[in-house]
Amino acid sequence: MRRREDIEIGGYDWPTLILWVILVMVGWFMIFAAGYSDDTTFSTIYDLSYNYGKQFMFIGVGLFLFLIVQLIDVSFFRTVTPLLYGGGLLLLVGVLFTKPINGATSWYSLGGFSLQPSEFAKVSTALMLAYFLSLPNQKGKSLQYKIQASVLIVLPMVLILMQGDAGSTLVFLSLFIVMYAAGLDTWIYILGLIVVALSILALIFDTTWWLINTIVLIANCILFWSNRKDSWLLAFVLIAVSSIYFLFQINIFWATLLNVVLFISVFVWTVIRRNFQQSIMVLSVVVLSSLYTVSVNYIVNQVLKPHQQDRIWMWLRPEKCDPLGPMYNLDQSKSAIGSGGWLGKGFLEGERTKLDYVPEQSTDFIFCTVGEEWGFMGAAGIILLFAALIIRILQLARRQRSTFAMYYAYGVASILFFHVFVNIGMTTGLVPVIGIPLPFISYGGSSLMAFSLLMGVLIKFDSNRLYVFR
Amino acid sequence: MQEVYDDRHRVLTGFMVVCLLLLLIQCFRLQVLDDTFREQQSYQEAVTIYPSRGAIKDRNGKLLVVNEPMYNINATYNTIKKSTLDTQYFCQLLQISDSTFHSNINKDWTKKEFSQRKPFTFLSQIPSGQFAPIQEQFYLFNGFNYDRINVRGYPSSVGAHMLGYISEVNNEQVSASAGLYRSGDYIGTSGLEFFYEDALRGEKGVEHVLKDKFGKRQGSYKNGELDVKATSGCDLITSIDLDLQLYGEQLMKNKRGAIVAIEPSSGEILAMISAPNYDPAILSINKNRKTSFEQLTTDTLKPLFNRALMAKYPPGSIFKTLLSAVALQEGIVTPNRGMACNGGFFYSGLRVGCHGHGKINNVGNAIQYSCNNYYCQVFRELVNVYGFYFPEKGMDRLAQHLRSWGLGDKLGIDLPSEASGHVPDAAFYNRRHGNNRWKFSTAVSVGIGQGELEITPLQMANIAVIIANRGYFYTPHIGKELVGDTLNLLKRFGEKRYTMVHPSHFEPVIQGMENVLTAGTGQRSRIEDIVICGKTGTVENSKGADHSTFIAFAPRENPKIAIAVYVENGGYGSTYAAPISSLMIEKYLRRYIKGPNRKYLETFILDANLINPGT
Repeated sequence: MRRREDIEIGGYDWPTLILWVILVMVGWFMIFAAGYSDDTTFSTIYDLSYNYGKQFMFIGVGLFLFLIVQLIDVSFFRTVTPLLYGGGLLLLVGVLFTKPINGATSWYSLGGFSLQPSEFAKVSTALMLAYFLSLPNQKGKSLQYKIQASVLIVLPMVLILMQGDAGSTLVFLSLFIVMYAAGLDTWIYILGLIVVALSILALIFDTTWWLINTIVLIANCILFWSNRKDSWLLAFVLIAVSSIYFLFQINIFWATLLNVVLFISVFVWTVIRRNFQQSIMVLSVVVLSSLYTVSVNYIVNQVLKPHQQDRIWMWLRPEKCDPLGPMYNLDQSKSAIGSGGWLGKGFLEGERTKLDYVPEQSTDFIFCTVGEEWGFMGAAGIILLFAALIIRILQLARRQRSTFAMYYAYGVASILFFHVFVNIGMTTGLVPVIGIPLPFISYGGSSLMAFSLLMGVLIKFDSNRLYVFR
Repeated sequence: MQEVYDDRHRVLTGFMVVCLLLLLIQCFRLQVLDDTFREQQSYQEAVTIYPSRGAIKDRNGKLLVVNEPMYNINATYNTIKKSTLDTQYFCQLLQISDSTFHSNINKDWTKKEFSQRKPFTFLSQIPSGQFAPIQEQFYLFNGFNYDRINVRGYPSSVGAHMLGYISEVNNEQVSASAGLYRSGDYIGTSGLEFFYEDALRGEKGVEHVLKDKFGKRQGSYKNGELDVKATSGCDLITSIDLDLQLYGEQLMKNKRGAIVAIEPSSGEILAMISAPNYDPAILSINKNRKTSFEQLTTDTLKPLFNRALMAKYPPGSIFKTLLSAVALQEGIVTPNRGMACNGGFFYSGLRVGCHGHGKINNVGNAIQYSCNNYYCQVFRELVNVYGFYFPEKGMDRLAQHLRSWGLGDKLGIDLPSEASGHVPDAAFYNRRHGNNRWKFSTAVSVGIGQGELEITPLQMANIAVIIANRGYFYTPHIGKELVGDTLNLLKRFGEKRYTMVHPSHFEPVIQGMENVLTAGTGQRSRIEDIVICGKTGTVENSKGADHSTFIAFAPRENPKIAIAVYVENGGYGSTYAAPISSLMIEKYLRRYIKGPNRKYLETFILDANLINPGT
């Protein structure tokens, strides 16, 4: 298979391909399991009246798209990227004028199948962003340059939000990870994370608790500023925020303890360095953030739609939610996954998913079937497969010679990561319910085809990496 | 260049790895550490417990509205297919045909709402009578189960208009209720059911149950720790006297019009009849409800229209009682003012006819004989009290009086869609004729209760209440007590509302009203041993026969009942409205009709058919 000229230009990256194929196959089996009821209704796996039959077809279409992409010359992608991006935007505008399905105007219907342009817009936007970031003479980090790059991401977001599809809109936020890799200022990310952390804290706690935690968190960040090394600061904030949040899920006490310990250690360290100017800064920031914290509840109640509010509340304050209403689906989802235990109930034995206790079981909540039928082993397996794939793609990004391909690879990794984290996170209650599919696994033609294109282009770029000169 | 961003690459990779690790930990927590999900083999489900809606009773505790069970049968396709079902026996028990069975069981499985694995509604709204035979045999039929729902039953079939009905909530109501209602719930849509919805509804509960994998109930989750009991709705005790209400509905059969009877000392409504009426049970939740409703809305007699509250009629001569009291208060007349009647009121080409009657020596006589000339003259003096050229001020003074009697605006009864009626004032005539382009003569027919004045039967009854009370009333209401209510919905009905007429001015009016029955226009309706004070009215009707009307209260001292009767196209007030009033009064005070003359009158009224006179 590996020919001489392939080696010269780079060749296919087999680890990526294998991981991808395994995930697609696992996905099909899961959809089969979610749709299969008993022998009487089962005819063939191609049965188009069932999701698994259709998915079989979509996999075929995806393979076809992949092969087409491999036949196209790499330099051609660079040429057509602006066109693809423009076309993507046009499709997003056009879909606004279609008939709404389930309250959202996100689909074109084509002879019995529906096409979701926002899925394809992910590919075109990732390409466009990479194209823009790799343009020559753009290395100066002028403000205008940063804004232009951000607009490329925000434009499709606005259009998709107008369709009423908040989930897909949020996916585009992951492209800001690419911007980070390209050198967007670290403080923006730190600020963003702090705002998120503050919001969460403010929503979780009613009065004193959030105040204590807010002040401690902010103080930590500010005191760490003296280190002056942005990356380390970001890393610290990331770890602090995620671990604090995660600990909250288990025990408020431990989370607060962690915060306080961090604060004291950093404080002692700063005192040793005798930095007094910072204390004033700490004070002002604490005041500002306290004000923000107070207003978060108001913002959530005013800006978000009722069902979005519900999702926030059932994520952060499940005790406040009606167990029969919004909580019901999430509870059933967690029960299905939890009932899997170590090894699961076995293939096709998952009763909770089978008996329709879990909503959207072959699309957004497909992970429930994995968790129930294959247990922790299966769930961990899927997560590790995705982790391996994402890490591999990040490695691919580093070895690209063309910056276009590099930024594109970062884009692919970011989109994949966002999908995986949010999807599995929502079924397990770690993040709020945001309706986006699990890549390669969830049922859905548009999603599967878009991910095939996304991966196909990446593999094509990588296979030609040595051919491209900087 | 890549060296510069090495740090960033590492941070980025680290971030993603940490996040994915969090997913892994979360799965470990759910699947391995937390064994609540793993050990139970059954499925937890939260089930809503519906509270029973409050009953509605009459003033003596007799039931007007109760909860009646009805059944929905659910089926699960896959389970039925596997079981050996005796379809014929099943259909026979349920009294349905074989084809109905098959069409109900084979749903369109391509639709998202149906699943072969999930129960769906097989037959809905089966009355308990039809369900009883199958209830005991139900265990025989695998794959079927049933829900019990409560609908409204009407043991005495009266008062459809005031009781109202419940129906399924619509989508707007669901979204406006902030989770209080779910689609499929019932909500009061009219009458008392609507007005006291908040108290009657009760509070839903939640029961967490465990089910086996086929959906059969196995037990309670965590021994019911998380369950919330449903709280039943408050029972509503109304001020309605069931016997009186029933009797009134019988008397009004085959007539159009309304009766409102009120206890003057409290404002409690004893009976409220709007004719033609309908059986409230046909609008209860049942299968034929839609057709019944269509029939009622298309009926030309408008049976759904609650005439007692919503019909605006000119009051006719009964208005003269009110005008007398106002005129006495304003000093226009003194109790002993007499007046000659030359067969009508004549004023520069205007003629309001009167009928032959005895001498008018005082206000009482004027009421007794219902003299049109007298009241046109009184009206003239009342409007011109500030001078002939200034009718505005006099007119507004009168309107002010009428408003204090609760006219021209909603009284505030505890029922929806009450009409305001209309009280003409100076602004009204200015709009119609232009400023200073009208005189008292333009409005003179108001003096005898005709013309632009419009009053609802409820307001007419309230006039009787005010005279009976000598000058004040309570907001008429039906709700007497809400058992266990914490919302204080009935508090506002305890408040006295005064008119602008001093109590002393009522005695002459009352004397006149007594004479109406002893020696006046209403003699036929006299009762030997009960002193009734009343006033007849014959309302001119340009579209057909005159309307017959009557207001009264009894007994004269310490009145127990005040009543207004309005019979559309009934002719003279003394023909139908007065006898109906007196029969109602006797029924309420004595509980039966005494003596052959009275029995004869009763038969006469019961037999009268004003809708299809020929039959």
